[in-house]
Amino acid sequence: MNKKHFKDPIYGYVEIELDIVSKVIDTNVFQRLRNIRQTSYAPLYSAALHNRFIHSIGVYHLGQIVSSKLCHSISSSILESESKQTISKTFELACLLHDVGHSPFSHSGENFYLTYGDLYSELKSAVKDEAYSKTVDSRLADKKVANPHEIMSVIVAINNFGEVIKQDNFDFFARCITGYTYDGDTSEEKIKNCFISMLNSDIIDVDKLDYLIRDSYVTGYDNVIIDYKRLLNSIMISSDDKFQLMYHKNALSVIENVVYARDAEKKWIQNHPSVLYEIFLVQHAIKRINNEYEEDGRHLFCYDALTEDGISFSDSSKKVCLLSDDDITTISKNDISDDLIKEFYARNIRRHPIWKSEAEYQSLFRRTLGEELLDKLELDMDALVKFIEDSQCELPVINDDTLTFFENRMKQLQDSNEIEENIKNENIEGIEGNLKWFYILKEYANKNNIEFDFVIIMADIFRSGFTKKALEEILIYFPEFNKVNYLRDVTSLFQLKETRDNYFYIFYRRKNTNCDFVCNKCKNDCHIDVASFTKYIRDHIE
Amino acid sequence: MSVFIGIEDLAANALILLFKRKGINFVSFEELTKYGSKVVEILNQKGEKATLIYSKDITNALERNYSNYFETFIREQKQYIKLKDSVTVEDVIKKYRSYLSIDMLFAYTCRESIEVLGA
Repeated sequence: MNKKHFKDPIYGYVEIELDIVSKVIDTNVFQRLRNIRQTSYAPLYSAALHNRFIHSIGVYHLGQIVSSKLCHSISSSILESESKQTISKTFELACLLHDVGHSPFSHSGENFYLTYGDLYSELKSAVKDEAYSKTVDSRLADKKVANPHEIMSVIVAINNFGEVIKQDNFDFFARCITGYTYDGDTSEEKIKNCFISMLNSDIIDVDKLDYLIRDSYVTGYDNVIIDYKRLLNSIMISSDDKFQLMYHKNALSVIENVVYARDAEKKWIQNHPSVLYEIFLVQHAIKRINNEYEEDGRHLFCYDALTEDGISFSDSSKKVCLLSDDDITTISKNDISDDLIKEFYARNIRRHPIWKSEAEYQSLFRRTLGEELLDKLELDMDALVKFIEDSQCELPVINDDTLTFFENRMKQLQDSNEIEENIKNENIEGIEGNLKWFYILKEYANKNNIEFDFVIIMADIFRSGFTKKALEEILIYFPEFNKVNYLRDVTSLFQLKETRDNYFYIFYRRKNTNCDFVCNKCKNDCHIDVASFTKYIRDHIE
Repeated sequence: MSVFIGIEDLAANALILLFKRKGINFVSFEELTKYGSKVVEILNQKGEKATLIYSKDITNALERNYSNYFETFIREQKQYIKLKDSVTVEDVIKKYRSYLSIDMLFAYTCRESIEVLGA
């Protein structure tokens, strides 16, 4: 069959059938992904501008390798050639379309999809399969639903490319993207579960593989090299009646490298304060936009906005179709600018983190406070961040305006007749507990002649992928002695202790935005002295 | 304005009520579902658009004991969420209640919601 060749800097040429190119890739619904950035790493790595379009092509390519290997390992006495072909093609389409419903700017806006009608009912209606509907309900009951962008991707894909996917395959297609495995016991379902896990798993799947390799390549970040060919060429399905996914022992070193690569990206890039702050600014912009573009229960982040027809509001200037990053930047720049949105566009007015890594944080606090006080401080900050972010105040910034907002709310609560007295009192105590840190930071700002203006962001304490149970339970096949073992039984990697849950950054405004010196070399007294600030915080915990 | 309610928000507010009124520090996922639906219904009546979020990432994190406040367990094939012994109700109020608007606080604590929980 005729194919189109997409040149990719990582994989060389990716071959895709012309039929899929014309009916899927060339459509505006898929082309929309050219304008959805893959990562939020640009503040750290200026070249991190790759998009979900090329990522989807990459995942499709890796999916082709996987489906070829897995089909090869399935005897035709178990599954006929035609069934293998159907499973294979459906899986590859799922790889191509796994992000087709993605919201702009990484994952910042995807929760807003849930405000669009009943997304779970839309999902069931699109797939039209009784078994799949039961699975959706069961996952809802267990509170383990797929991510909103995964659900939206299924809906968008089936609604726009249903003829290519074919109705008989909607169930398996949807399961590949949402990760909802089959509960049944048939050999076909177990085999399909192996495919599903290669697109949607905790540790190794083609989605993660592509973004780990691509993010490193495009950004220029020197990460561990992942020999994806060696890894994917070693996968197989066991020939016993369990039909489990396993790896030839030749893949052991690459499996470890995948985890090292994932750990490095998570620890040094995703958790970098510049990246976290960028995400914070984007989330704020998206929240404001979604509130602004809300009318009679309709929101900007919805299925309609992802299509050519788009969504309109009563204000005729507010129409959006094929929603992408560009729409968010246009609206935020022109229609709803505020202090935080301005910061997104101007680096020189951005707030700065007082400490710049988890390691610095640990050095400043863990070594000096001890576990009990550190526990208290982190719980206080965790509560404070939620207090500010979820309270519907205008800007999630610790400053006089927000302080006034909460003092007014306390008064409203005191005056309210709707709430029981004891609940009122408990809540007021809770508010005062959080406002305590407002007053502490305000006092610090006044004494040190800096602006009373702080942002606090929680960050996840780094947890290695080596602590994940899913990694331990990867099956490794040793052909020389025809034995299969769990990874945990053949490597000494899983000796790591559990660590704490999270830590935090505090951002502030420098007095002189033009200062070129790092903190301890500045002669103009425009930086917060890290040591004295953290001592100040430590002294005020109790 | 849209309000998102995650399983931890629901669990926290349910457990504050149950603990304060009955000394119970756990609640089933099934009860939380009913409580969540009632809270959303009341908020919608008050003109607030509320959405429940049941993310697999959060629930999996709870099961792996990664939460500062809650842990899960299974009893007689039913899944429950409970307050960790190291956490006080005041800590939970500070994080999961103090930020609430009056309408939201009402939705979580009004008689109808309390009845659904059996608190």
